[in-house]
Amino acid sequence: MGSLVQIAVNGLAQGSIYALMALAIVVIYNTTETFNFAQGEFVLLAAYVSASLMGIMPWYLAMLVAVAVIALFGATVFQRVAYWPLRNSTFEFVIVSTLGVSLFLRNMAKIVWGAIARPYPEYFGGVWRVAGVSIVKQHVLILAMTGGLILLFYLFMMKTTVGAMMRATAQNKQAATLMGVKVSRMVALTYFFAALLGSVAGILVAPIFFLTIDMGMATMTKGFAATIVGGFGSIPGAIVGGLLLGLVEAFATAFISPVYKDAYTFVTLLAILVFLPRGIFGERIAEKV
Amino acid sequence: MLLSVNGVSLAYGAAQALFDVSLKVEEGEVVTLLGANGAGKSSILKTVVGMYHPFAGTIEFNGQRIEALPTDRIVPMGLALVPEDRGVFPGLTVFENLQMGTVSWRRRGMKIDADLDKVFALFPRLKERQNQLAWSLSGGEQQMLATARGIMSRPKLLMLDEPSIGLAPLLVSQVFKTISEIQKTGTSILLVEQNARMALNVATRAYVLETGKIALEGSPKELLQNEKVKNAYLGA
Ligand SMILES: Nc1ncnc2c1ncn2[C@@H]1O[C@H](COP(=O)(O)OP(=O)(O)O)[C@@H](O)[C@H]1O
Ligand SMILES: [Mg+2]
Repeated sequence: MGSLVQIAVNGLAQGSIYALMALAIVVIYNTTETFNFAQGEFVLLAAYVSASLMGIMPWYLAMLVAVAVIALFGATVFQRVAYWPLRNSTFEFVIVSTLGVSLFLRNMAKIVWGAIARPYPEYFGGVWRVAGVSIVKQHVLILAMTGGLILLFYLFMMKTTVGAMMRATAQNKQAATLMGVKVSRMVALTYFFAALLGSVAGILVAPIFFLTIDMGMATMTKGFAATIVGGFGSIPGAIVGGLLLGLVEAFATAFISPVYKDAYTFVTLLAILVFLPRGIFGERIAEKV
Repeated sequence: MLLSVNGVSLAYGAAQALFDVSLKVEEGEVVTLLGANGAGKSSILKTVVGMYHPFAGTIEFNGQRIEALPTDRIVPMGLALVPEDRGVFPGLTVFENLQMGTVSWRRRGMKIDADLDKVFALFPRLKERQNQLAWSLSGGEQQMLATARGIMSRPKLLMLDEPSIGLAPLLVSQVFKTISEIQKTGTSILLVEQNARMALNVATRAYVLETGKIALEGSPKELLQNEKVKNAYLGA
């Protein structure tokens, strides 16, 4: 029983990281009708930049600075280079362009930080023992941070005028323009959120994994799977899909074998595509947020 | 002069849709633009609001040249277009849709209560449905919402693209009654309609557009008596 709780906490923690990535993918898709294949590089950059900054400042400040810098980078330079020039072409052009930027960023990371995997400082290490169950502190931090971030994002989208402007833009770009909404600002804001979600995911997973050049791509792939499991385009779907994948992975790893960790995601994905082709939440375009 | 379109020509790629179009709207007027399907009526409105840019001609609004400006610069000057497809935000509530109408002028801390009262007085139905998502409204209610949202932007000129399209006859006459009421509040109107008789009844001046060219201009009285208009648009 105790170990079941441990596995569940582990799975939810991992799953909430996937949920952050899935959320970023969906938010970008809703505003721009295309994908950002460099989403994972926000994870990578946040992890490496914060690790480097820890040499000259306390860990929490290093993380804060890294997240802020990368979120702003996403909203400005990144978006202007990878998306904006192609905003009027079909979506596959943006996919190719963001893939290109992704390769560029990974190679830059390789040049700056080297190709060898290295550990991330354990800033919140250790284990809590609660009623005979050991809970990894980092997992609790991940759950608290992602829960808080998702709640803030939800409140922003649903309760503020700017949030309503973002939803309006996602639902009908032309009508939003007719209201005087500057679509360029909404795009910048969307990329700000995507980079924020990605970089927070980065500083949260880094202590669990080694830092590698591929950590972003791997995380993004799971995020994509989560969006499909949850129902593409749906924000609640992205969150539930991410958590579900995390749980499946954790339990299958514990009870079947850790060797096939990534395969479980794809088995889940296949099962969903066969039995619930529109995902758990199915898309209802009319309510797209 | 509120709006003046001078010799505007527009092309979609190689296909020219507007040929040397000139028209004007004075303050306080209800100007109607009549014409068959495909004549270019919507193209004129979309060009005025900056969704398309003409390859020749100029457009002046309130004394300023606007033909090269983007929509998000034109709308805050006091120009609103209620498009043919209505363009309500389906996943936003009625209230939020109306709120979107204020984006062009509202600054932090400004109240919109008086604007809301004004549109709810015109469309009491919307007040009852404030918290409903817009997709759940009927066609007539969506038209009300789109028009109300246009009014929320405090326009000097409100452009309505076929507001009566697809509505039941009873609702159609209501639309035209509302247009007269909006005019009384001091907002000028540029009205595109297929329902020529009703449009001429509320208009102060009218234009007839044929295959991208202005074919006729005059007072509603003149046009109602014109043989060509009678045959082509009034079904007489
Ligand atoms: N976005 C567009 N791209 C290409 N052609 C268009 C576009 N919009 C309208 N047209 C063409 O321009 C002409 C005028 O259309 P429109 O202005 O919608 O006419 P109306 O509103 O009077 O029915 C039509 O021949 C139409 O097919
Ligand atoms: Mg039309």
